[in-house]
Amino acid sequence: MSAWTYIIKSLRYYWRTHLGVVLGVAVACAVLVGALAVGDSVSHSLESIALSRLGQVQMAILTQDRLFRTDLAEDLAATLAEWVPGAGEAEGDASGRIEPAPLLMVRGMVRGGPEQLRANRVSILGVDERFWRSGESEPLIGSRSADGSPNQYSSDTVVLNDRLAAKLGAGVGDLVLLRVEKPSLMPADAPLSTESDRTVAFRLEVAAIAGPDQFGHFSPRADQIAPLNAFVPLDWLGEKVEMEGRANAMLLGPASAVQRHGELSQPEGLQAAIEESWQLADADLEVRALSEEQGIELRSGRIFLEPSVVRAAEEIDPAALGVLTYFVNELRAGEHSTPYSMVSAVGYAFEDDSDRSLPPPLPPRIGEGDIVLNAWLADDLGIGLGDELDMTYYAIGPMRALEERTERLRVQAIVAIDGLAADRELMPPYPGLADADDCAQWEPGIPIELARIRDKDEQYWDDYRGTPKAFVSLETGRRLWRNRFGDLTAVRSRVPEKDPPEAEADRLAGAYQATLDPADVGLFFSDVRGAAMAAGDQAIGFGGLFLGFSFFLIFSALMLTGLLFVFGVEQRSEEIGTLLAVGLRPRRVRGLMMLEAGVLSLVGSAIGGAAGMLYTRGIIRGLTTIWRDAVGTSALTYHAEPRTVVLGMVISVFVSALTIWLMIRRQGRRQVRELLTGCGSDQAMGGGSSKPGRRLWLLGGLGLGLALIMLIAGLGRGRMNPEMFFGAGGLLLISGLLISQALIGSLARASDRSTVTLGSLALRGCMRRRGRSLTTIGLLAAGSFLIIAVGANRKDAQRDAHARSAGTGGFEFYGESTLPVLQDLNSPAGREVYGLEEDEMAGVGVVPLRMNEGDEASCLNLNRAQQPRLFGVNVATMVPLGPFTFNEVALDDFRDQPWRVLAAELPDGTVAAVGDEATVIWALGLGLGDLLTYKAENGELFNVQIVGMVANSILQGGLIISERNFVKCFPSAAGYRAFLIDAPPERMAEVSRALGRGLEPVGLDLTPAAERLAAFNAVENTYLSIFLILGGMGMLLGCVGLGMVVLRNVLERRSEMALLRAVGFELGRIRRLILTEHGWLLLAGLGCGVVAALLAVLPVLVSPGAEVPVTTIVVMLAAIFVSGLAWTLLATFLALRGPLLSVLREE
Amino acid sequence: MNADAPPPLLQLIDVSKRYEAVAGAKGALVLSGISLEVAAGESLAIIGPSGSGKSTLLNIIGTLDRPTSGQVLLGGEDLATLDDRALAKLRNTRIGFVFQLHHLLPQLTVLENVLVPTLADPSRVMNSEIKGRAVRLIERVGLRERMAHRPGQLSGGERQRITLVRALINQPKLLLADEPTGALDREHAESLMDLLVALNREEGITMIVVTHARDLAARLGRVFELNNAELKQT
Repeated sequence: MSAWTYIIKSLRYYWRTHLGVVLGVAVACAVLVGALAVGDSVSHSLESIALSRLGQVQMAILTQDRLFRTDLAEDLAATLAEWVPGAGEAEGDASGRIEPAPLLMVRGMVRGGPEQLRANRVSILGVDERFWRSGESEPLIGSRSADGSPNQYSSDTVVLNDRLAAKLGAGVGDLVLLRVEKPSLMPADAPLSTESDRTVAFRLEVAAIAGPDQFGHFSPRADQIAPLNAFVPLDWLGEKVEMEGRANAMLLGPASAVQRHGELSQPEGLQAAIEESWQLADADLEVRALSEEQGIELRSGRIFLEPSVVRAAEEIDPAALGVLTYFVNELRAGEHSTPYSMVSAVGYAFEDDSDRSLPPPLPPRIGEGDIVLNAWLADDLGIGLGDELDMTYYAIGPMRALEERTERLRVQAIVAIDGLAADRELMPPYPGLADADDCAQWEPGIPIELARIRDKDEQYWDDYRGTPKAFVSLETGRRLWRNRFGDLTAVRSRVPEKDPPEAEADRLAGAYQATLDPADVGLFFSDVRGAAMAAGDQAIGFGGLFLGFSFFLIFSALMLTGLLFVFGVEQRSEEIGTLLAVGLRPRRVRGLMMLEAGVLSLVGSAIGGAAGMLYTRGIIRGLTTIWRDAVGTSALTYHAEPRTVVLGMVISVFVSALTIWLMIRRQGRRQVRELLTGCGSDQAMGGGSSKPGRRLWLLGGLGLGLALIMLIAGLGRGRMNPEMFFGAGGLLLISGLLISQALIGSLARASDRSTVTLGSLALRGCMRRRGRSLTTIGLLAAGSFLIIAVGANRKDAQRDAHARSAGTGGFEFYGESTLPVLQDLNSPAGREVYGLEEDEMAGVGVVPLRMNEGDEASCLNLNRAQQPRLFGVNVATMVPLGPFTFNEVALDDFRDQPWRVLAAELPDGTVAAVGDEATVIWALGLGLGDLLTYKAENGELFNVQIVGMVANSILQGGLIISERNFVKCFPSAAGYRAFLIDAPPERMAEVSRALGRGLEPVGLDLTPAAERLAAFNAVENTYLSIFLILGGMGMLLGCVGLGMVVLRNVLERRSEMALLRAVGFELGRIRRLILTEHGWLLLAGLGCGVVAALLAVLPVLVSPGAEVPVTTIVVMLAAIFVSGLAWTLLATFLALRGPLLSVLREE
Repeated sequence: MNADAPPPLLQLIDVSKRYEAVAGAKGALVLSGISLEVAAGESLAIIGPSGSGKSTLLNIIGTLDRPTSGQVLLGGEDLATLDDRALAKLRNTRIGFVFQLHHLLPQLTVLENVLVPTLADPSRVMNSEIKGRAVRLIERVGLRERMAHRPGQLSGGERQRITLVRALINQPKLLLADEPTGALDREHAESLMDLLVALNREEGITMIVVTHARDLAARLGRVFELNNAELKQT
């Protein structure tokens, strides 16, 4: 006979006992496989979503507020084809051709559908057929037919993506109103940037609805929630927003082709191709020959030359002349004044001008504090050399706050309108001015009083256009008008008389192109596909998460498995004794048992593996329906990798076998004679030294003492320290279990000395198997501890919502706008722009935040945010308000006023950032002090360091940096797009209406702060619910285990029960006795767990925003108690079935 | 003892066994200074009242228990010097056990039960020679027809005969039987004793039998009585 024969026969013979073991393993395995496969499903779903977002796109240039030529795409394609023949046309395989696709992506709002619903923050995408090819989709709009004419859907039609269509309730053929942001070459925050006509609206017919398969979900951002997209033809959109031939994004694909070409598969490799293909026009730069004089000028459509451009200019021509022309409000000398004039600051931009002279007719040098007037102005003001005048101009501060400043200057010279003084090109192409035929058409982006313009001013405009009326030195100009966008409006190089200016302009343009790095002006590729895959790969590990949630359930199932197997083994103690007696070594006997257990584990795991897949489907269904708050999408689909299922099964086999081994290893150590006679064990009641008991009391007491110390320490800083309390609770739980064990031991000893009473009999029952009793108490204590500890962490967004320390920051609303708000909504002037009445805005305060587009880094995004959104806030605004509760601040100096930490100067230009704790830890996987690298607008990398973390707040989704640092890194990002709004609580509805109406043109989405917080809390609360449900199931399984223990105990004591029956006990009384015994175990377990848990979560219970589901917890604990009693009762009935007295007769 | 004579198969030298006191109960001296020599092929019976320590003595001889003091030598080898592994091997190859309660494994057939001791050595489990021996022994005890039956289908006497066969499967030098007839009626008890005596005589197996029944004990070579922790030949 082989060992296998023995095992197979044993398995067959004891199948009833083994059935429980197999089911236990199956449950554990199903839950384990299920948890892991949930991870697979989420990862697979995120990957699918990412692929549907990106189609075949590998790389993208995203310049946001900067615009480049759409032709850059063709130039780049030509370069690529030239460089790598295969990249252009891969062996006749058109699909292998790398193709850049230009896009014009602007923000907008759409209204439509039967109820004329409005959708804000819509991406309006100007596309052509190349875009659709990037998505491997049939062109839906924007393509042209073979003869070059637009296709049927290219005129006055729009394609909505399915999410936008669903939001509006719009269908094909419906008319929708698109309001589109007009991009501007000049940053909207720049001085003299025009404010009017920031949007343009069109009524368009919906031509088609694009789903994920038609590339309708295109978005460069890693988010599982589909964007709101509206597609229009690229050239049509360019024309309508007056940016014809311009784009601000370029996609590069197909991914397979890009990846095939080594050097091009990296952004660095492609950068060389951009350098080869780009033109100055792609950076809004122009080098041109001056018409009035022998010179070349570099100027920018953005008006102010950026620092990187100025650096290049210095390299190319260190002797260049710098020009800074500004629009001043008034030049006044006594009673005489001239309104609205251009004044130019001129001087050598990079070199000391002491040995060279300014071009005539200007004097060789203009002194600091001096001004040179043209004859017209001198005449108008009636002043002469040496006289003084006051020059008044607007300086533009944050939120376009206009500050009128006046500078007193002395007249150094008066020059004729001739030569440089007659150069009308000194005025840069200020929007609203440059194109105006007459002064009445001026719209300079600052308030002007047209009534002040006199006929002679109009005549000057007619005669000389924007020719400056006065000149100051470049130093003076820079001192007065320097701003974050630059300090020059042009750089001029002189050209030798012999050289034709046009040829020299071409040469200089080439030099600029060679010197400037296109990345400095935002022209660089990012590996969006790599980032999307990384975001999915590094996403919150749902496998691990659900494994954590399921831990107690798996643990309970394994304990039950172990218990059942051990009971089976105990039933067979005589058999084990026989095997040992006939010479099998204990190890061999254990080996045979383990082989048997292994077979059971294998069978259980096989069943569990199959059941696990069903369980996964159930969880996924739950996550897309009742638990949808946790994932924010219904796009999750079931997917289980075979290797995951196998891995789960292997782990189950291993873990269940290990559990069984741990529980049976003691069996082999028992004496053969004990085993053969079926009596006596090290766990049996009574006897034993009292030393271990004393040790247990000591350890228990020590634990209690430590818990007390931790409690005192936890209260030390005037607020309850959650970690200390949780530690104290945990210690209390362990101490409780140690004391329970000691108590059981000492009661057992005490019962030896007492006389036999019914009570002592019950006690002996409990003490009979101390290990089992303690396991029961431990399982119940740990379970109830977990349920309360977890349940108590639920959060209520409404609680103390008006307090500054709350997760709402005490703000009533959080708003995000589609288009930036440039004005200060706290000032009457700013409110007036949006038609907000002072009475309806009474008591309303707005904290505006600048916003840089990036990944949503809240718990609503399952992907790991790679480049989370950055918000810029004015530190001086936040400090006095002191909103939110900081859990952590990296630098001690800032603990009293934590918002000041944003202004901290960190080494190497690192930018200090504050983030919501959930964002930092969960969405970004970072901690306090960690760094995150960003690309600034100029392509330079900079580090953001987490220096503070805010607890459970509405700030989830991005990181907050100081406005100062923000504008330094993203100078072109205009205005404010996020708002924290204070309002009188009783007037919330009125304020909401007013803001909604007033800020409709900028597409404001206003959410009550408590509602936003509740949406974030819902994620955590849903996870907690899942944990509670799975933990509760584990507890119920634990109760089944309790029933098994009772059954086993009572079966072992049938003779004792029979004796009681023989001496006259009624059966009902015996049942009550057993029920009482095990009821005490149940109560002891629950009591231990509940008391320890309440202590552990006390700080949470009293903290703002805590929403303890008292009813749920009480119901769950009661259910566990009742279930425990029910199983005990059932076990008692089963064990006491049949004629008890026959047991005595058999003996 | 003659120096040239072979050493006795079993030798007990001043063996004592004391159970330590536990809470609520005093300690007890069960065996006191017991010395005994058993030659190969000899058969002897140990009788005595209940609780006199007969089974304890048998367990000590069979290495299922250890003496508090004294020595047990089997084939001249001091059992106290052997580790658990060696003791298990010794039990498996040199000692056969017959218990009062048969301790047959209910899930196995008669033949398989007989072969259970071979599980101790995985290299022998498929040995056809052993299987042949098992079949012969089963035939020898008259249970050929019952070979495929399970213990639950056998009578008490039949089960005990199978237990005896199981004890003999590895050709032990020493057979220990603890109240082998205790659970049998008179007829089955005598039948089993006939078998034991015949095996002793025909196979030359050394045999120590613990029994209550003086008449059955009288059929063995020597009879010892254990009383008040002391062993005396009657």
